[in-house]
Amino acid sequence: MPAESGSSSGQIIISDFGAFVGKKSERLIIKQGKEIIEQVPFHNLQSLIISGSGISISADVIQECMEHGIQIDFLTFSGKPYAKLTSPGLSGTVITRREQLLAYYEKRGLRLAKAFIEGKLRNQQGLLHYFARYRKSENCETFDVLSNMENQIADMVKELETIDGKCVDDVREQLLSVEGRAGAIYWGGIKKLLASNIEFETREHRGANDPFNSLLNYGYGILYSTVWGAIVLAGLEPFAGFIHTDRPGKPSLCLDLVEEFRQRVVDRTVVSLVNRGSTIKLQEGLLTDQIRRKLIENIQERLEAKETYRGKQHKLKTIIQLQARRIASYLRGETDYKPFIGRW
Amino acid sequence: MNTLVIYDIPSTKIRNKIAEACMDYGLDRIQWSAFLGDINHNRREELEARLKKVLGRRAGNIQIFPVCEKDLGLRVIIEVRKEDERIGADSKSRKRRKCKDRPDEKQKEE
Repeated sequence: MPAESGSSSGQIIISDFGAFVGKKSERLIIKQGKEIIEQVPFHNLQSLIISGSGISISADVIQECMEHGIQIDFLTFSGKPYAKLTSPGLSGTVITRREQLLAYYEKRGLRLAKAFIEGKLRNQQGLLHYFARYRKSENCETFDVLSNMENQIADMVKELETIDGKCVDDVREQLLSVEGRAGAIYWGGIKKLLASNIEFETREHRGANDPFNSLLNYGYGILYSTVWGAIVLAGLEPFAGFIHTDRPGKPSLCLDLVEEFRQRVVDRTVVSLVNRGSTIKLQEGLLTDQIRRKLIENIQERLEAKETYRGKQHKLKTIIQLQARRIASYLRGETDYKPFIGRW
Repeated sequence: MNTLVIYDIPSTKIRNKIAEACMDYGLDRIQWSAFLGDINHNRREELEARLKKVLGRRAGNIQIFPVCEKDLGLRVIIEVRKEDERIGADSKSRKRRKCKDRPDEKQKEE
């Protein structure tokens, strides 16, 4: 079994125990024992993800990756990113960071926080709408329930607009309350959509031990790394967020920006995966290798898929990058910030 | 642009260096001294410069062909192969075989 999937997209994921990642000439070489499993020119590589244990990587690879601007991410088996290697020269302009930190105490921070949540809610609404549409003819009852949920979330978007204050700190409680209530409705809707295809009670964030939550968490892990990469490349500070509070080791800004992409990139993929009839079981509390691979493949396809963004077609992963840059230019006072809302 | 690189070089050392360069540019080995792959115009010129440099003033003949999608689709492969005579021997064989079976499709691991 090859160690990665989707190498055509420039993203390589290595997850096989005992794999060795080395460099030969200008190529990345993945070996299992003495056998070369895969080789990719660094030129064709965009990011490298190491997920799993028992994998070794040579210093030459690290150097070459940094010179080519390729970030290396390390994920645990459950998809949680625990390390990221980036070039130290890549800290962007200082002015962006200064502004980012200042913005927290001003209206600008609140504006961003509201935009992220608005993006999240509208995409949640969109996703319910998207899946409900297919059920319109065959299952009227589900369709009605889902439409009703859509409307409730739409009301919350309106409620969100009325929240105002001097800075995020003043109104965080209110923001989180809206977000939480919308989330509860949304996951209720998802539960309805999954019907009896998979066992799913409620959304659990960490240490989930049911298959559906595990799939989501693994998917979000990949999304986090992508968003984190985009944030670093845009010259922003990943640890200084707006909705999420500061805590050592918590990449708040990544968590903030991720909100508007969760539904489009991960939720939709996972729901389709389950509803298309893949059997998903856990082995000793972890997703099986096979299903993990399938998920990675589907999420990468999603990130490669084109979407309309400001009147133009872009790959979703490019849109993530563009949104990160948009945050930076908003903070520098050059443009306005609008969340990414897919056309569902 | 699909690019075919073929070469005839007496020196094994240089021949290997040429092969390395082709692989560095993401071309796939289709025969011992033939590489094929999709690279853009700039990269092809880079590769050309590099091959020229590696060969230097030594004896040898290298040919680089751009091949259009349509012509590549007309490619015919006639092949009889014994288990132990595979190109690239050992590990790469699986991938190569796949590449030969479906020349037009991008290789995708299952």
